[in-house]
Amino acid sequence: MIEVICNDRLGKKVRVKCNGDDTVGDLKKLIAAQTGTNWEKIILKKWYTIYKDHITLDDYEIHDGMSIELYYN
Amino acid sequence: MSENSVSFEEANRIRLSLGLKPLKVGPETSSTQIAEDNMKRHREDEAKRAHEDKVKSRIAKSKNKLELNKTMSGKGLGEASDDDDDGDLYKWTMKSRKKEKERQTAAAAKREKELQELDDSYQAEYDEDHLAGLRVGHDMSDFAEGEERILTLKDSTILENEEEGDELINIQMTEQQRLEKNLENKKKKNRPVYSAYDDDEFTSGKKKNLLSQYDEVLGTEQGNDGFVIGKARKVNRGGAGSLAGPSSGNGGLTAKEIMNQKLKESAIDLTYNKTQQAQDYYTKDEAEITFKKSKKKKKSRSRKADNWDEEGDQDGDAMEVERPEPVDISELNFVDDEDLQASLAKARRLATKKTIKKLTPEQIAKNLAESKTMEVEEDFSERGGLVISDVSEFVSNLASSSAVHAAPARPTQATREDSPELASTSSPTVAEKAQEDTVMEDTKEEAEEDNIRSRTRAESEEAEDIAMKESKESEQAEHEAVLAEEPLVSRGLGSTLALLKQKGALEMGNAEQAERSKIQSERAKWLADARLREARLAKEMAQAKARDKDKVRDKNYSIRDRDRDREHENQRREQQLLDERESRMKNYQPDVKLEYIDDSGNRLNTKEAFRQLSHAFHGKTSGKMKTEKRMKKLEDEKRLLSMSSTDTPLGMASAFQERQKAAGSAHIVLAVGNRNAVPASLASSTVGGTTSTLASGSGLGTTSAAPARSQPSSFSTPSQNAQATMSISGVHAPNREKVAFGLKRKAEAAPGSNPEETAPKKTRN
Repeated sequence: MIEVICNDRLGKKVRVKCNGDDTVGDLKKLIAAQTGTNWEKIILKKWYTIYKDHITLDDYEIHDGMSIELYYN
Repeated sequence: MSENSVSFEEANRIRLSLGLKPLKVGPETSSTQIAEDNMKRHREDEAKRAHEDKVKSRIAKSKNKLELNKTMSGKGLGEASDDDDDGDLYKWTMKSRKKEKERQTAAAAKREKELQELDDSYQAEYDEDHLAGLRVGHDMSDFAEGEERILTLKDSTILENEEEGDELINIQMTEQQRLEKNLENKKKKNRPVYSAYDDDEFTSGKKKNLLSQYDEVLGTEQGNDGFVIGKARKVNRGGAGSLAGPSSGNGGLTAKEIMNQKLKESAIDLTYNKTQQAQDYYTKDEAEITFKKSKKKKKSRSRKADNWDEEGDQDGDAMEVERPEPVDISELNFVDDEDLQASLAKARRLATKKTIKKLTPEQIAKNLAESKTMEVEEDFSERGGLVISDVSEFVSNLASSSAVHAAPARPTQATREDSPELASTSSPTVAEKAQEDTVMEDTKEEAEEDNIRSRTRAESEEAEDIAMKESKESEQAEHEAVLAEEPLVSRGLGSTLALLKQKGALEMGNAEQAERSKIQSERAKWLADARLREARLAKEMAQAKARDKDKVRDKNYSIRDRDRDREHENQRREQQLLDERESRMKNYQPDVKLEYIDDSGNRLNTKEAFRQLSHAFHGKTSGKMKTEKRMKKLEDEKRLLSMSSTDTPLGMASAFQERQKAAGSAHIVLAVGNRNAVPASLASSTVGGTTSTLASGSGLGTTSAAPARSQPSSFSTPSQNAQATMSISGVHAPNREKVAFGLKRKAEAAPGSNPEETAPKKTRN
């Protein structure tokens, strides 16, 4: 179980607990459940790297306590 | 920024609701974690090993110590010995020498024992069997019976040793062999290398290298001869059977003999069967032998292949059947080889027979069936069915068109140019004739076109109407002119407008424009009304002023009151004005139309307007050529407008009409030279009347004789009208010499003068 911090920089900052083998899509769903948006509208980025939905967090090497930027489309 | 986070249970609940697996609790078993575990384990192992080693070393140390201490056991030097108390020096020395000797002998004995043991061990292992399988590099024949030779291992490279194994040679024997070979080579060198027969290559099977005559045997080559030591058979044979045969295992044959055998096997038999016919195609066996192709897996095309195979077999069978026929022809031939001739003849016969096709009964039936079907098809095509071809279509079109043509055309303006008129003209000169020809053609074409047009119009009407109109108009046609009239300008503005419209110079506005103009007129009216109102108001104001002046005299009406009243009045009036303006502006739609006009008053389109603008802007107009072109274009347009709308530019139709009247006949004789004159008899009847004049060569209309000339003639009014039109249309024409077709009117001749005196002269203008 890892905890990932997703920051909007507009006031929304969530800490999401998830597994390492969860996909980014699942993470987006969890974020949506916590923030109340539509998960399809969420875009997770790190600088200019957009995290794709079908890849796991482990493969992206997202570990416990890492921050991810939260955007919307 | 407040952090939003959920508890573990909450997170699990959310995950389950989304359909994800619950959170995994505990440390992550990621790859890094695994690596850490491995590292730990590795370190632990190392630690353990180190510990063990230490313990072992400690044990060994202690053992060593013990052993060392053991040697230290016994009496020391300093301590007194047990047996000798006296301390006798002689005895001690004798004892010590004895001890020394013992020690030495003991050591020697030990050593000898060890050596003996070693020797025994080696001796015991090595016997005859150990030699089995070793190759010997010499021929068996080199070793004589009972001879003792020492064999040593041959030098070889590591790779060769691995491949071939050990080889035993006798050094002296090898040296001897080498020497012999070298001597031989030297002898050979003197002989020429080339011999005509290259038998060696074929017999020995070995290809000789280049410059092989200089090869020297160095003793490092691999020898082929030799033998392998075999296992000793301890049966009665003894050592005799311990040697095996030659190394190559050929069963006692030399290389040459082996080669021979091989060649014999692969030899090709050159004998052939003379009587066998030479066939063009391979038999199956021959084909297989010559073209050995790896058979690939046949797919499910077997059906087709089978059919072909069957046919092929059939053919083959048929051929084979024919072979054992009696040979009678051989008796006729007197050539030597009878068998050959026989076979040739057979082949010839077969070839001729093949050309004749044998019709099997099935084949015949099939042919019949095919022919029957063909006949049936032909029958079908002949009867019944609709045949559409170019010819049929054309004919049908003609038929339909001729039917329409039967219904007479409604007399429209442009259809009066009938062919009889054309036929009646006769041109005075050749040039005129040529011109007229072309013009005639044009008019003919026009007439045709108009006919077609009229036909189409007629089609759209009902037959009854056509018939009625026909009857009516036929009556009118007699009175109307053949040429359509152009409305006279002198009649009035209406007729002028009609003329312009006919010519196409007038652009009639469409509905939109009409609406626009309506709106504009309304607005203008409103403006006018507004002005009237204002005028009225002004009058009222003046009246009010006058009234006020009267009121001044009233004492009770103070100045303040007056001012107040005036203010009120003004306000009210202004309000009224504003209201009116507002009501008018409610549905105000500005209708702007930009029109550009050049210097001479022509309306310009956008392109020309822009050109005007750019000329003004840049300050320079077009050059000479351009302006001339433009002028020419404008002139042409004007001339186009001034052309007669009902007649050709040359006024051919009217000219023909006049000619017709002058001649009194419907036809026009085209004549060349002086013979184009109107006959004198006719001329007399017509000279009094106005004659049609044609300004030949001019593209404009004709000028008619002075109206004063017109005398009461048998001509009907239409002719006058025609002339009048001609006068109008010929407004722009310069006063040319008036020439009739061949008739030159004498200027101011007496009315009653003899017309015969007027010599028919032709003039060319």
